[in-house]
Amino acid sequence: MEYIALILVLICIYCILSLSLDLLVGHLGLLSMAQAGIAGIGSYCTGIIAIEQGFPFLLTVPLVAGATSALSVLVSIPTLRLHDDYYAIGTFGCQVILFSIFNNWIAITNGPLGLPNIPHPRILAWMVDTTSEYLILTSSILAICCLLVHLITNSPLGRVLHAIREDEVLAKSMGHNVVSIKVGIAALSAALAAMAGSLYAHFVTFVHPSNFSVTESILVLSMVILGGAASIRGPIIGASVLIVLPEILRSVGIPSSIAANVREIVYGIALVMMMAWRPHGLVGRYSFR
Amino acid sequence: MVRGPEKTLSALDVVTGYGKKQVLNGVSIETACGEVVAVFGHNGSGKSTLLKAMFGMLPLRSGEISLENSPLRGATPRDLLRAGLAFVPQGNRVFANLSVLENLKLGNLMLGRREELDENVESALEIFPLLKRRVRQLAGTLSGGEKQMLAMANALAMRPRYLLLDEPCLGLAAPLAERALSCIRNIADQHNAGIVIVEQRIREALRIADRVYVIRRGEVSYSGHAESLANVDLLREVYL
Repeated sequence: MEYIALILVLICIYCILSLSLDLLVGHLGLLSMAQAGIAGIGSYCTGIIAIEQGFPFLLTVPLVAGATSALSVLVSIPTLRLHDDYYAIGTFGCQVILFSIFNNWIAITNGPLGLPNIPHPRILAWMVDTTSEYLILTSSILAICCLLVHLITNSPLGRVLHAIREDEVLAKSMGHNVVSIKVGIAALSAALAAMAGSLYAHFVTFVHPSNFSVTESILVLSMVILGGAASIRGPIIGASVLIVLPEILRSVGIPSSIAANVREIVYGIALVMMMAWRPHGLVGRYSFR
Repeated sequence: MVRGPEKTLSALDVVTGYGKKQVLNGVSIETACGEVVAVFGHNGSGKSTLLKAMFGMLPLRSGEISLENSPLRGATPRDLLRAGLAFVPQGNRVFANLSVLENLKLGNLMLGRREELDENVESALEIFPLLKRRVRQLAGTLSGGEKQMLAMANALAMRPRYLLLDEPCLGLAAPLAERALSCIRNIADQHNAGIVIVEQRIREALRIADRVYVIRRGEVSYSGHAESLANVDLLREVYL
Protein backbone atom coordinates (compact mmCIF):
# COMPACT_ATOMS: atom_id res chain seq x y z
CA MET A 1 0.00 0.00 0.00
CA GLU A 2 2.84 2.31 0.95
CA TYR A 3 4.53 1.46 -2.36
CA ILE A 4 1.40 2.31 -4.38
CA ALA A 5 0.97 5.58 -2.48
CA LEU A 6 4.61 6.45 -3.25
CA ILE A 7 4.07 5.83 -6.97
CA LEU A 8 0.88 7.92 -6.87
CA VAL A 9 2.71 10.82 -5.16
CA LEU A 10 5.36 10.75 -7.89
CA ILE A 11 2.62 10.65 -10.54
CA CYS A 12 0.97 13.72 -8.98
CA ILE A 13 4.26 15.64 -8.90
CA TYR A 14 5.10 14.76 -12.50
CA CYS A 15 1.53 15.60 -13.54
CA ILE A 16 2.00 19.13 -12.17
CA LEU A 17 5.35 19.37 -13.95
CA SER A 18 3.98 18.13 -17.28
CA LEU A 19 0.93 20.41 -16.98
CA SER A 20 3.32 23.32 -16.51
CA LEU A 21 5.25 22.29 -19.62
CA ASP A 22 2.04 21.80 -21.59
CA LEU A 23 1.20 25.48 -21.12
CA LEU A 24 4.26 26.26 -23.20
CA VAL A 25 4.40 23.28 -25.56
CA GLY A 26 0.72 22.55 -26.14
CA HIS A 27 -0.96 25.90 -25.71
CA LEU A 28 1.75 28.29 -26.95
CA GLY A 29 3.64 25.97 -29.30
CA LEU A 30 7.01 26.63 -27.61
CA LEU A 31 9.09 23.48 -27.34
CA SER A 32 10.85 24.06 -24.02
CA MET A 33 13.71 21.77 -23.05
CA ALA A 34 14.40 23.36 -19.65
CA GLN A 35 11.44 22.31 -17.52
CA ALA A 36 13.46 19.97 -15.29
CA GLY A 37 15.99 22.74 -14.73
CA ILE A 38 13.22 25.13 -13.69
CA ALA A 39 11.79 22.51 -11.34
CA GLY A 40 15.34 22.14 -10.02
CA ILE A 41 15.41 25.83 -9.09
CA GLY A 42 12.21 25.20 -7.12
CA SER A 43 13.69 22.14 -5.42
CA TYR A 44 17.00 23.74 -4.48
CA CYS A 45 15.37 26.98 -3.28
CA THR A 46 12.95 24.92 -1.19
CA GLY A 47 15.79 22.87 0.26
CA ILE A 48 17.90 25.91 1.11
CA ILE A 49 14.98 27.90 2.57
CA ALA A 50 13.58 24.95 4.54
CA ILE A 51 16.94 23.80 5.93
CA GLU A 52 18.60 27.14 6.64
CA GLN A 53 15.68 29.43 7.35
CA GLY A 54 13.15 26.90 8.61
CA PHE A 55 10.35 28.62 6.71
CA PRO A 56 6.96 26.85 6.87
CA PHE A 57 5.63 25.05 3.79
CA LEU A 58 2.81 27.55 3.20
CA LEU A 59 5.37 30.32 2.93
CA THR A 60 8.10 28.37 1.14
CA VAL A 61 6.02 27.19 -1.83
CA PRO A 62 4.60 30.59 -2.90
CA LEU A 63 7.98 32.23 -2.25
CA VAL A 64 9.81 29.69 -4.37
CA ALA A 65 7.14 29.77 -7.11
CA GLY A 66 7.26 33.59 -7.19
CA ALA A 67 11.07 33.74 -7.26
CA THR A 68 11.34 31.10 -9.99
CA SER A 69 8.65 32.89 -11.95
CA ALA A 70 10.55 36.18 -11.72
CA LEU A 71 13.75 34.45 -12.81
CA SER A 72 11.96 32.86 -15.75
CA VAL A 73 10.79 36.30 -16.88
CA LEU A 74 14.42 37.46 -17.00
CA VAL A 75 15.45 34.34 -18.91
CA SER A 76 12.44 34.43 -21.22
CA ILE A 77 13.06 37.96 -22.49
CA PRO A 78 15.94 36.85 -24.76
CA THR A 79 14.63 33.32 -25.45
CA LEU A 80 11.08 34.34 -26.39
CA ARG A 81 12.47 36.24 -29.34
CA LEU A 82 13.41 32.84 -30.71
CA HIS A 83 11.01 30.67 -32.67
CA ASP A 84 10.45 26.99 -33.34
CA ASP A 85 13.66 24.97 -33.34
CA TYR A 86 15.69 27.98 -32.21
CA TYR A 87 13.55 28.29 -29.07
CA ALA A 88 14.10 24.59 -28.31
CA ILE A 89 17.86 25.04 -28.73
CA GLY A 90 17.82 28.21 -26.59
CA THR A 91 15.97 26.50 -23.75
CA PHE A 92 18.25 23.47 -24.11
CA GLY A 93 21.12 25.89 -23.47
CA CYS A 94 19.32 27.18 -20.35
CA GLN A 95 18.87 23.59 -19.14
CA VAL A 96 22.59 22.88 -19.57
CA ILE A 97 23.48 26.07 -17.67
CA LEU A 98 21.07 25.24 -14.82
CA PHE A 99 22.40 21.69 -14.50
CA SER A 100 25.92 23.01 -14.45
CA ILE A 101 25.01 25.46 -11.67
CA PHE A 102 23.35 22.71 -9.60
CA ASN A 103 26.39 20.50 -10.07
CA ASN A 104 29.15 23.06 -9.57
CA TRP A 105 27.99 25.84 -7.26
CA ILE A 106 29.02 23.82 -4.26
CA ALA A 107 28.67 26.60 -1.66
CA ILE A 108 24.94 26.83 -2.36
CA THR A 109 23.83 23.50 -3.86
CA ASN A 110 26.41 21.19 -2.26
CA GLY A 111 27.32 20.14 -5.81
CA PRO A 112 27.38 16.43 -6.68
CA LEU A 113 26.81 15.50 -3.02
CA GLY A 114 23.29 16.87 -3.23
CA LEU A 115 21.24 18.61 -0.56
CA PRO A 116 20.13 16.21 2.19
CA ASN A 117 17.85 16.53 5.23
CA ILE A 118 15.11 18.64 3.72
CA PRO A 119 12.30 18.48 6.27
CA HIS A 120 8.84 17.13 5.51
CA PRO A 121 6.29 19.92 5.23
CA ARG A 122 4.19 21.17 8.09
CA ILE A 123 0.94 22.91 7.22
CA LEU A 124 -0.24 24.77 10.33
CA ALA A 125 -0.72 21.94 12.84
CA TRP A 126 -0.58 19.17 10.21
CA MET A 127 2.80 17.45 9.94
CA VAL A 128 2.84 15.74 6.55
CA ASP A 129 5.23 12.89 7.20
CA THR A 130 3.61 9.74 5.86
CA THR A 131 3.30 8.86 2.18
CA SER A 132 -0.50 8.68 2.40
CA GLU A 133 -0.67 12.17 3.87
CA TYR A 134 1.70 13.40 1.21
CA LEU A 135 -0.56 11.84 -1.41
CA ILE A 136 -3.47 13.87 -0.06
CA LEU A 137 -1.35 17.04 -0.23
CA THR A 138 0.03 16.49 -3.74
CA SER A 139 -3.29 15.35 -5.21
CA SER A 140 -5.00 18.44 -3.75
CA ILE A 141 -2.36 20.71 -5.27
CA LEU A 142 -2.64 18.82 -8.58
CA ALA A 143 -6.42 19.38 -8.56
CA ILE A 144 -5.88 23.13 -8.01
CA CYS A 145 -3.32 23.24 -10.83
CA CYS A 146 -5.72 21.39 -13.17
CA LEU A 147 -8.48 23.85 -12.34
CA LEU A 148 -6.16 26.81 -12.91
CA VAL A 149 -4.94 25.49 -16.28
CA HIS A 150 -8.51 24.63 -17.30
CA LEU A 151 -9.76 28.12 -16.45
CA ILE A 152 -6.93 29.80 -18.34
CA THR A 153 -6.97 27.64 -21.44
CA ASN A 154 -10.76 27.74 -21.80
CA SER A 155 -10.99 31.50 -21.37
CA PRO A 156 -10.61 34.15 -24.09
CA LEU A 157 -6.93 34.24 -23.10
CA GLY A 158 -6.75 30.53 -23.99
CA ARG A 159 -8.03 31.30 -27.48
CA VAL A 160 -5.37 33.97 -27.82
CA LEU A 161 -2.69 31.48 -26.72
CA HIS A 162 -3.81 29.09 -29.41
CA ALA A 163 -3.86 31.92 -31.93
CA ILE A 164 -0.25 32.77 -31.08
CA ARG A 165 0.65 29.09 -31.37
CA GLU A 166 -0.93 28.93 -34.83
CA ASP A 167 0.48 32.12 -36.31
CA GLU A 168 2.37 34.72 -34.34
CA VAL A 169 2.43 37.32 -37.12
CA LEU A 170 -1.32 37.02 -37.62
CA ALA A 171 -1.90 37.26 -33.87
CA LYS A 172 0.18 40.45 -33.84
CA SER A 173 -1.81 41.81 -36.76
CA MET A 174 -4.94 41.29 -34.68
CA GLY A 175 -3.47 43.51 -32.00
CA HIS A 176 -2.42 40.88 -29.50
CA ASN A 177 0.62 41.76 -27.43
CA VAL A 178 2.41 38.52 -28.21
CA VAL A 179 5.58 39.19 -26.19
CA SER A 180 3.71 40.10 -22.97
CA ILE A 181 1.45 37.07 -23.26
CA LYS A 182 4.39 34.73 -23.87
CA VAL A 183 6.33 36.17 -20.93
CA GLY A 184 3.26 35.88 -18.67
CA ILE A 185 2.61 32.26 -19.60
CA ALA A 186 6.31 31.38 -19.26
CA ALA A 187 6.19 32.89 -15.75
CA LEU A 188 3.09 30.88 -14.84
CA SER A 189 4.61 27.72 -16.27
CA ALA A 190 7.78 28.31 -14.24
CA ALA A 191 5.74 28.89 -11.07
CA LEU A 192 3.94 25.56 -11.51
CA ALA A 193 7.19 23.75 -12.33
CA ALA A 194 8.84 25.26 -9.23
CA MET A 195 5.88 24.13 -7.15
CA ALA A 196 6.35 20.59 -8.47
CA GLY A 197 10.06 20.85 -7.64
CA SER A 198 9.25 22.10 -4.17
CA LEU A 199 6.85 19.21 -3.52
CA TYR A 200 9.48 16.77 -4.80
CA ALA A 201 12.17 18.18 -2.48
CA HIS A 202 9.92 17.96 0.58
CA PHE A 203 8.79 14.45 -0.34
CA VAL A 204 12.17 12.89 -1.13
CA THR A 205 13.96 15.10 1.47
CA PHE A 206 17.06 15.06 -0.76
CA VAL A 207 17.80 16.78 -4.04
CA HIS A 208 20.62 15.94 -6.41
CA PRO A 209 21.67 17.52 -9.74
CA SER A 210 20.88 14.31 -11.62
CA ASN A 211 17.19 14.79 -10.74
CA PHE A 212 17.18 17.90 -12.96
CA SER A 213 19.29 16.87 -15.94
CA VAL A 214 18.50 17.11 -19.65
CA THR A 215 17.22 13.52 -19.49
CA GLU A 216 14.59 14.61 -16.96
CA SER A 217 13.52 17.49 -19.21
CA ILE A 218 13.15 15.02 -22.07
CA LEU A 219 11.15 12.72 -19.79
CA VAL A 220 8.70 15.53 -18.96
CA LEU A 221 8.46 16.47 -22.63
CA SER A 222 7.78 12.81 -23.42
CA MET A 223 4.92 12.83 -20.92
CA VAL A 224 3.29 15.75 -22.73
CA ILE A 225 3.85 14.28 -26.19
CA LEU A 226 2.77 10.76 -25.25
CA GLY A 227 -0.37 11.80 -23.40
CA GLY A 228 -1.22 14.57 -25.82
CA ALA A 229 -0.57 18.29 -25.76
CA ALA A 230 -3.05 21.15 -25.21
CA SER A 231 -5.30 19.19 -22.89
CA ILE A 232 -5.49 18.50 -19.17
CA ARG A 233 -5.94 14.75 -19.58
CA GLY A 234 -2.95 14.35 -21.92
CA PRO A 235 -0.13 15.31 -19.54
CA ILE A 236 -1.83 13.40 -16.71
CA ILE A 237 -2.08 10.22 -18.78
CA GLY A 238 1.47 10.71 -20.12
CA ALA A 239 2.92 11.21 -16.63
CA SER A 240 1.01 8.21 -15.27
CA VAL A 241 2.16 5.90 -18.08
CA LEU A 242 5.80 6.95 -17.91
CA ILE A 243 6.02 6.74 -14.11
CA VAL A 244 4.30 3.34 -13.95
CA LEU A 245 6.23 1.91 -16.92
CA PRO A 246 9.60 1.45 -15.11
CA GLU A 247 7.78 -0.27 -12.26
CA ILE A 248 6.22 -2.70 -14.73
CA LEU A 249 9.62 -3.28 -16.34
CA ARG A 250 11.04 -4.02 -12.92
CA SER A 251 8.23 -6.42 -12.12
CA VAL A 252 8.83 -8.47 -15.29
CA GLY A 253 12.29 -9.32 -14.04
CA ILE A 254 14.58 -7.02 -16.01
CA PRO A 255 17.76 -6.63 -13.92
CA SER A 256 17.99 -3.21 -12.28
CA SER A 257 21.45 -2.69 -13.84
CA ILE A 258 19.91 -2.51 -17.32
CA ALA A 259 16.38 -1.43 -16.37
CA ALA A 260 17.27 2.29 -16.64
CA ASN A 261 18.69 1.82 -20.13
CA VAL A 262 15.72 -0.25 -21.25
CA ARG A 263 13.40 2.40 -19.88
CA GLU A 264 15.09 5.11 -21.94
CA ILE A 265 14.97 2.93 -25.04
CA VAL A 266 11.25 2.41 -24.44
CA TYR A 267 10.77 6.22 -24.07
CA GLY A 268 12.64 6.79 -27.31
CA ILE A 269 10.64 4.16 -29.20
CA ALA A 270 7.38 5.58 -27.78
CA LEU A 271 8.31 9.10 -28.94
CA VAL A 272 9.24 7.96 -32.45
CA MET A 273 6.03 5.92 -32.74
CA MET A 274 3.88 8.79 -31.50
CA MET A 275 5.44 11.23 -33.97
CA ALA A 276 4.94 8.78 -36.81
CA TRP A 277 1.43 7.52 -36.12
CA ARG A 278 -0.23 9.65 -33.49
CA PRO A 279 1.35 13.14 -33.43
CA HIS A 280 -1.41 14.52 -31.22
CA GLY A 281 -0.63 11.93 -28.50
CA LEU A 282 -3.08 9.58 -26.84
CA VAL A 283 -5.76 12.17 -26.04
CA GLY A 284 -4.24 15.50 -27.10
CA ARG A 285 -5.74 18.26 -29.20
CA TYR A 286 -2.58 19.66 -30.74
CA SER A 287 -0.55 17.87 -33.36
CA PHE A 288 3.19 18.39 -33.56
CA ARG A 289 3.14 17.82 -37.33
CA MET B 1 -17.84 60.05 -53.86
CA VAL B 2 -17.74 63.04 -51.52
CA ARG B 3 -15.02 63.11 -48.96
CA GLY B 4 -13.22 65.67 -46.87
CA PRO B 5 -9.46 65.97 -47.20
CA GLU B 6 -8.98 65.12 -43.52
CA LYS B 7 -10.41 61.59 -43.87
CA THR B 8 -7.14 60.01 -44.86
CA LEU B 9 -4.52 57.54 -43.75
CA SER B 10 -1.11 58.80 -44.72
CA ALA B 11 2.53 57.83 -44.49
CA LEU B 12 4.89 60.78 -44.82
CA ASP B 13 8.61 60.40 -45.62
CA VAL B 14 8.77 57.00 -43.95
CA VAL B 15 12.29 55.67 -43.37
CA THR B 16 12.60 52.21 -41.85
CA GLY B 17 14.36 48.87 -42.21
CA TYR B 18 15.60 45.75 -40.48
CA GLY B 19 18.76 45.95 -38.37
CA LYS B 20 21.43 47.73 -40.37
CA LYS B 21 19.53 47.39 -43.63
CA GLN B 22 17.44 50.42 -44.54
CA VAL B 23 14.55 49.34 -46.77
CA LEU B 24 12.41 52.47 -47.15
CA ASN B 25 14.15 55.77 -47.83
CA GLY B 26 11.42 58.33 -47.37
CA VAL B 27 8.20 56.89 -48.78
CA SER B 28 4.99 58.93 -48.74
CA ILE B 29 1.59 57.50 -49.62
CA GLU B 30 -1.98 58.37 -48.78
CA THR B 31 -5.43 56.82 -49.00
CA ALA B 32 -8.84 58.31 -48.31
CA CYS B 33 -12.07 56.70 -47.12
CA GLY B 34 -13.78 54.85 -49.97
CA GLU B 35 -10.58 54.76 -52.02
CA VAL B 36 -8.47 51.80 -53.14
CA VAL B 37 -4.78 52.60 -53.46
CA ALA B 38 -2.54 49.98 -55.04
CA VAL B 39 1.17 49.72 -54.28
CA PHE B 40 3.30 47.93 -56.87
CA GLY B 41 6.98 47.09 -57.00
CA HIS B 42 9.50 44.31 -57.46
CA ASN B 43 10.12 41.72 -54.79
CA GLY B 44 12.27 43.33 -52.11
CA SER B 45 11.34 46.87 -53.11
CA GLY B 46 9.80 47.54 -49.68
CA LYS B 47 6.04 47.19 -50.26
CA SER B 48 5.34 44.79 -47.39
CA THR B 49 7.78 46.69 -45.18
CA LEU B 50 5.73 49.82 -45.82
CA LEU B 51 2.53 48.12 -44.67
CA LYS B 52 4.23 46.71 -41.57
CA ALA B 53 5.56 50.17 -40.72
CA MET B 54 2.12 51.72 -41.24
CA PHE B 55 0.64 49.12 -38.89
CA GLY B 56 3.17 49.70 -36.11
CA MET B 57 4.86 46.32 -36.54
CA LEU B 58 8.12 47.95 -37.54
CA PRO B 59 9.49 51.07 -35.83
CA LEU B 60 10.02 54.16 -37.97
CA ARG B 61 13.52 55.63 -38.16
CA SER B 62 12.00 58.86 -39.33
CA GLY B 63 8.82 60.09 -40.96
CA GLU B 64 5.28 59.89 -39.74
CA ILE B 65 2.10 57.85 -40.08
CA SER B 66 -1.09 59.77 -39.45
CA LEU B 67 -4.72 58.78 -39.35
CA GLU B 68 -7.19 61.55 -40.11
CA ASN B 69 -4.62 64.18 -39.17
CA SER B 70 -3.65 62.49 -35.88
CA PRO B 71 -0.01 61.36 -35.83
CA LEU B 72 0.45 57.73 -34.82
CA ARG B 73 4.06 57.76 -33.63
CA GLY B 74 4.77 54.87 -31.26
CA ALA B 75 1.27 53.40 -31.67
CA THR B 76 1.04 49.62 -31.27
CA PRO B 77 -1.08 47.40 -33.56
CA ARG B 78 -3.68 47.26 -30.77
CA ASP B 79 -3.87 51.09 -30.65
CA LEU B 80 -4.21 51.19 -34.43
CA LEU B 81 -6.98 48.59 -34.50
CA ARG B 82 -8.85 50.63 -31.91
CA ALA B 83 -8.32 53.72 -34.06
CA GLY B 84 -9.87 51.91 -37.05
CA LEU B 85 -6.90 50.53 -39.01
CA ALA B 86 -6.56 46.80 -39.77
CA PHE B 87 -3.84 44.80 -41.51
CA VAL B 88 -4.11 41.53 -43.42
CA PRO B 89 -0.60 40.03 -43.70
CA GLN B 90 0.68 38.14 -46.70
CA GLY B 91 -0.01 34.45 -47.36
CA ASN B 92 -3.67 33.49 -46.64
CA ARG B 93 -2.93 33.61 -42.92
CA VAL B 94 -5.62 32.11 -40.75
CA PHE B 95 -5.51 30.22 -37.45
CA ALA B 96 -5.60 26.73 -38.96
CA ASN B 97 -6.56 24.80 -35.83
CA LEU B 98 -9.38 27.17 -34.88
CA SER B 99 -12.82 27.16 -36.46
CA VAL B 100 -13.90 29.87 -38.90
CA LEU B 101 -16.10 31.38 -36.19
CA GLU B 102 -13.30 31.38 -33.60
CA ASN B 103 -11.04 33.08 -36.14
CA LEU B 104 -13.62 35.79 -36.67
CA LYS B 105 -14.10 36.36 -32.94
CA LEU B 106 -10.45 36.72 -31.97
CA GLY B 107 -9.91 40.28 -33.10
CA ASN B 108 -13.02 41.58 -31.34
CA LEU B 109 -12.11 39.72 -28.16
CA MET B 110 -8.75 41.47 -28.19
CA LEU B 111 -10.48 44.82 -28.62
CA GLY B 112 -12.80 44.00 -25.72
CA ARG B 113 -15.88 44.40 -27.93
CA ARG B 114 -17.89 41.56 -26.45
CA GLU B 115 -21.26 43.26 -26.84
CA GLU B 116 -20.76 43.94 -30.54
CA LEU B 117 -19.06 40.60 -31.18
CA ASP B 118 -21.96 38.76 -32.86
CA GLU B 119 -23.02 41.79 -34.87
CA ASN B 120 -19.47 42.41 -36.15
CA VAL B 121 -18.94 38.76 -37.04
CA GLU B 122 -22.29 38.69 -38.85
CA SER B 123 -21.46 41.81 -40.84
CA ALA B 124 -18.12 40.29 -41.92
CA LEU B 125 -19.92 37.11 -42.99
CA GLU B 126 -22.39 39.18 -45.03
CA ILE B 127 -19.48 40.30 -47.19
CA PHE B 128 -18.28 36.72 -47.67
CA PRO B 129 -21.46 34.60 -47.64
CA LEU B 130 -19.49 31.51 -48.68
CA LEU B 131 -17.94 31.46 -45.20
CA LYS B 132 -21.37 31.41 -43.55
CA ARG B 133 -21.82 27.76 -44.43
CA ARG B 134 -18.45 26.91 -42.94
CA VAL B 135 -18.43 28.71 -39.60
CA ARG B 136 -17.92 25.47 -37.63
CA GLN B 137 -15.25 24.13 -39.98
CA LEU B 138 -11.57 24.26 -39.03
CA ALA B 139 -9.93 27.13 -40.91
CA GLY B 140 -7.02 24.90 -41.95
CA THR B 141 -9.38 22.75 -44.01
CA LEU B 142 -10.60 25.66 -46.19
CA SER B 143 -9.39 26.05 -49.77
CA GLY B 144 -6.81 28.74 -50.62
CA GLY B 145 -9.46 31.18 -51.82
CA GLU B 146 -11.65 30.59 -48.79
CA LYS B 147 -8.69 31.11 -46.48
CA GLN B 148 -8.00 34.44 -48.15
CA MET B 149 -11.64 35.43 -47.72
CA LEU B 150 -11.44 34.44 -44.06
CA ALA B 151 -8.23 36.45 -43.64
CA MET B 152 -10.02 39.52 -44.98
CA ALA B 153 -13.17 38.74 -42.99
CA ASN B 154 -11.04 38.54 -39.81
CA ALA B 155 -9.87 42.08 -40.41
CA LEU B 156 -13.33 43.33 -41.44
CA ALA B 157 -14.92 41.81 -38.32
CA MET B 158 -13.02 44.49 -36.40
CA ARG B 159 -14.93 47.17 -38.35
CA PRO B 160 -11.90 49.06 -39.66
CA ARG B 161 -12.19 52.34 -41.54
CA TYR B 162 -8.85 51.70 -43.20
CA LEU B 163 -7.48 48.37 -44.39
CA LEU B 164 -3.94 47.36 -45.34
CA LEU B 165 -3.82 44.25 -47.55
CA ASP B 166 -0.53 42.54 -48.31
CA GLU B 167 -0.80 40.51 -51.52
CA PRO B 168 -4.34 39.20 -51.00
CA CYS B 169 -4.21 37.26 -54.28
CA LEU B 170 -0.96 35.43 -53.56
CA GLY B 171 -1.32 31.79 -54.56
CA LEU B 172 -4.86 32.17 -55.89
CA ALA B 173 -5.96 30.96 -59.32
CA ALA B 174 -6.96 33.75 -61.70
CA PRO B 175 -10.77 33.50 -61.24
CA LEU B 176 -10.41 33.44 -57.44
CA ALA B 177 -8.03 36.39 -57.56
CA GLU B 178 -10.56 38.34 -59.65
CA ARG B 179 -13.26 37.53 -57.11
CA ALA B 180 -11.08 38.55 -54.17
CA LEU B 181 -10.22 41.84 -55.84
CA SER B 182 -13.85 42.63 -56.66
CA CYS B 183 -14.68 41.96 -52.99
CA ILE B 184 -12.01 44.49 -52.04
CA ARG B 185 -13.57 47.08 -54.36
CA ASN B 186 -16.97 46.39 -52.83
CA ILE B 187 -15.59 46.85 -49.31
CA ALA B 188 -14.28 50.28 -50.28
CA ASP B 189 -17.52 51.29 -52.02
CA GLN B 190 -20.11 49.88 -49.66
CA HIS B 191 -18.33 50.42 -46.34
CA ASN B 192 -16.50 53.59 -47.32
CA ALA B 193 -13.21 52.01 -46.22
CA GLY B 194 -9.84 53.35 -47.32
CA ILE B 195 -7.77 50.47 -48.65
CA VAL B 196 -4.06 50.13 -49.37
CA ILE B 197 -3.37 46.99 -51.35
CA VAL B 198 0.07 45.62 -52.17
CA GLU B 199 -0.29 43.36 -55.18
CA GLN B 200 1.79 41.61 -57.82
CA ARG B 201 -1.12 41.08 -60.23
CA ILE B 202 -0.82 44.53 -61.74
CA ARG B 203 -3.46 44.34 -64.49
CA GLU B 204 -6.14 42.93 -62.21
CA ALA B 205 -5.33 45.35 -59.41
CA LEU B 206 -5.41 48.33 -61.78
CA ARG B 207 -9.04 47.49 -62.56
CA ILE B 208 -10.12 48.06 -58.96
CA ALA B 209 -7.65 50.74 -57.84
CA ASP B 210 -8.32 54.47 -57.85
CA ARG B 211 -4.71 55.49 -57.46
CA VAL B 212 -1.36 53.76 -57.74
CA TYR B 213 2.11 54.05 -56.20
CA VAL B 214 5.13 52.24 -57.57
CA ILE B 215 8.04 51.65 -55.20
CA ARG B 216 11.57 51.05 -56.47
CA ARG B 217 14.53 50.51 -54.14
CA GLY B 218 12.68 51.94 -51.19
CA GLU B 219 11.43 55.09 -52.90
CA VAL B 220 8.21 56.05 -54.67
CA SER B 221 9.09 56.09 -58.36
CA TYR B 222 5.59 56.86 -59.59
CA SER B 223 2.25 57.95 -58.21
CA GLY B 224 -0.89 58.77 -60.08
CA HIS B 225 -4.32 57.64 -61.18
CA ALA B 226 -4.78 53.98 -61.97
CA GLU B 227 -5.98 54.69 -65.52
CA SER B 228 -2.74 56.47 -66.37
CA LEU B 229 -0.72 53.35 -65.56
CA ALA B 230 -2.87 51.31 -67.93
CA ASN B 231 -0.57 52.76 -70.59
CA VAL B 232 1.83 49.86 -71.14
CA ASP B 233 4.82 52.03 -72.02
CA LEU B 234 4.48 54.12 -68.91
CA LEU B 235 4.02 50.99 -66.81
CA ARG B 236 7.18 49.52 -68.26
CA GLU B 237 9.07 52.76 -67.68
CA VAL B 238 8.16 53.13 -64.02
CA TYR B 239 8.18 49.47 -63.11
CA LEU B 240 11.23 48.05 -64.86
